[in-house]
Amino acid sequence: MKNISTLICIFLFSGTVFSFPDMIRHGYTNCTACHVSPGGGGLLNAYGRSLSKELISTWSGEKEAGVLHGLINTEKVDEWLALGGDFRSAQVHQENDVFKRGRWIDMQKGFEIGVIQPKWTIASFIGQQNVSENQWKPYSTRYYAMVTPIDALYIKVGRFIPNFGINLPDHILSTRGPLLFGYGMERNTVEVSWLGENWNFILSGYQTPENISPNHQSGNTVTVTYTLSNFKTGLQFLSEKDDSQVRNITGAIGYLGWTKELGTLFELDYVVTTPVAGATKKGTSLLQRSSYELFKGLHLVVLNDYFQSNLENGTTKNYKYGPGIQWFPRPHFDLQAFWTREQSSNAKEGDYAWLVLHYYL
Amino acid sequence: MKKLIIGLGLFTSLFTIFTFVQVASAKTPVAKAPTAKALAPAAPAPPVATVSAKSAQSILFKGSAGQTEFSAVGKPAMIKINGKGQGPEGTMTYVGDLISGTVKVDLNQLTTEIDLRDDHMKNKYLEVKKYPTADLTFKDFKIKSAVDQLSATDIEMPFTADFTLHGKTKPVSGTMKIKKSEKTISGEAEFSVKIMEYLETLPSYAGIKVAEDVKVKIKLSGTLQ
Repeated sequence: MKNISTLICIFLFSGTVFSFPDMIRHGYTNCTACHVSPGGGGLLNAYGRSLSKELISTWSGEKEAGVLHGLINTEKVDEWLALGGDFRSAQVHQENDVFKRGRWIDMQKGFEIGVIQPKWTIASFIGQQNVSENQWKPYSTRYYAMVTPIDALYIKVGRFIPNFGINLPDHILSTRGPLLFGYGMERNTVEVSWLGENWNFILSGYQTPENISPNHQSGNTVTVTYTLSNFKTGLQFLSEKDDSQVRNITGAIGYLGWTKELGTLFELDYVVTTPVAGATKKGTSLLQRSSYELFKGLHLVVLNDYFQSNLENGTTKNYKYGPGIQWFPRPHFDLQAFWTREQSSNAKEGDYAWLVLHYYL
Repeated sequence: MKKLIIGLGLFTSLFTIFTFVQVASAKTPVAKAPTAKALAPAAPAPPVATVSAKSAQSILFKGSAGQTEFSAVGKPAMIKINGKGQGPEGTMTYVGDLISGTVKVDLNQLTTEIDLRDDHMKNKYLEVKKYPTADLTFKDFKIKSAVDQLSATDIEMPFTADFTLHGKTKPVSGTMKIKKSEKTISGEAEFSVKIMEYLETLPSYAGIKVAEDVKVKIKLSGTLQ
């Protein structure tokens, strides 16, 4: 039971990415401002490292945002070499009328390296995965090559999570893990992104490896967004099929930078799953995450997170709502604490809280 | 409860869409290209020297009463860089519907709200110690109405002026709004500049380069003397 619980928590919370889409509040509408990958997350570029000091962290020393807090002088190679890594742990607390449990979980540790040239990039994550209690195995599930023939156009090929939805690192959220865009869902993917000043178009085609889905799964995603000032909204579509079912998702996303302090992330997805044999199932995911920066680096967050895999079956729902904080005290440190109320069919309303400690190189 | 949740979802969706429509409909005014007529050389204006010094009146602009804004794009990530600072200062003179004079914007007061970026902008590229102001110079600019007859309602018109930055002066054109309330003249001038016409090197930092076109909006507020 412990192992199952651990695996569930790993599935819910782990992530190789660190992305902070709330940066829309400051006019950073595309992930490539800070990240090597157009979809965000993972390796930071030199500008992103600079912003972690200038804009994100409460305190910082002069060179502190650099690799290993500036202990290594990478200035000579910053233009072509990106180094990074993630170390992430979580404390989870769940309590309702059926059970009360809490666990500390070491989830992930690994390094990421990328070679960046004006017209091309290669990057790979190399790390260890906690597959069960006290058992780690090395892995490299994310790697890609990318060409940038002209400004704003990115063609990316490799194994990574296809672009879909708001790329938050919390895989517990209904729009990540439950939609199968969470931890360990890296697929063999070809992705073409046009990230213009106002319009973004991202097309992905993917095949799911056998170790994730043995049913010859493949799919496509399309995301179109439009940015006006500090507001970015758009639509997204997914079409996926395998030997047993066809899954289509239609969704709307919004990154709303009301002020430099206040922002809202919003995603609503409508999922239609049609099995080869059986009735069609319709479900939904809804995420609304608003944050207010109380002072530099400290964000008060309000979360509404709803998932229901079958709209005709009320027992398939899960709803979490409540406050949280996210704090970036110094470059390399990202702390999150949420205390939500959880409604599900398995128990009466109870508490669901988590604390995430994330260190990035 | 299910209905409540779905209702919340629909409400948030509609709110998002409504907000987007609201923002979209309130498009940022873009400086219109002046018409050929506006750009064509105007009928020869009477030399300034012919204007009676007695009939010329002046408008004193104070920086603290106005504001200067600029917006640029950082490529390739399409970062939106917005900066602001004090309004222009200086004295302009007018005779009837002709305005002349120079107002200056203190570049030391500009900020993009990121310290490192401000440091680079001011010291590395604009060299504010050497060139502390950006100047906008009007020479017998003809407005739609005599200054004394301006009302509290904005009138809008194309304009041309000389813009001096980093020690270089180039003509700029754009749109201007102006109005008068008792002794206060206020307005906005919007125009675009090609930043490389003024600077030696394109501003860049950590792989992000500023696109060549920079939009400038100057909000003026002055007092009739």
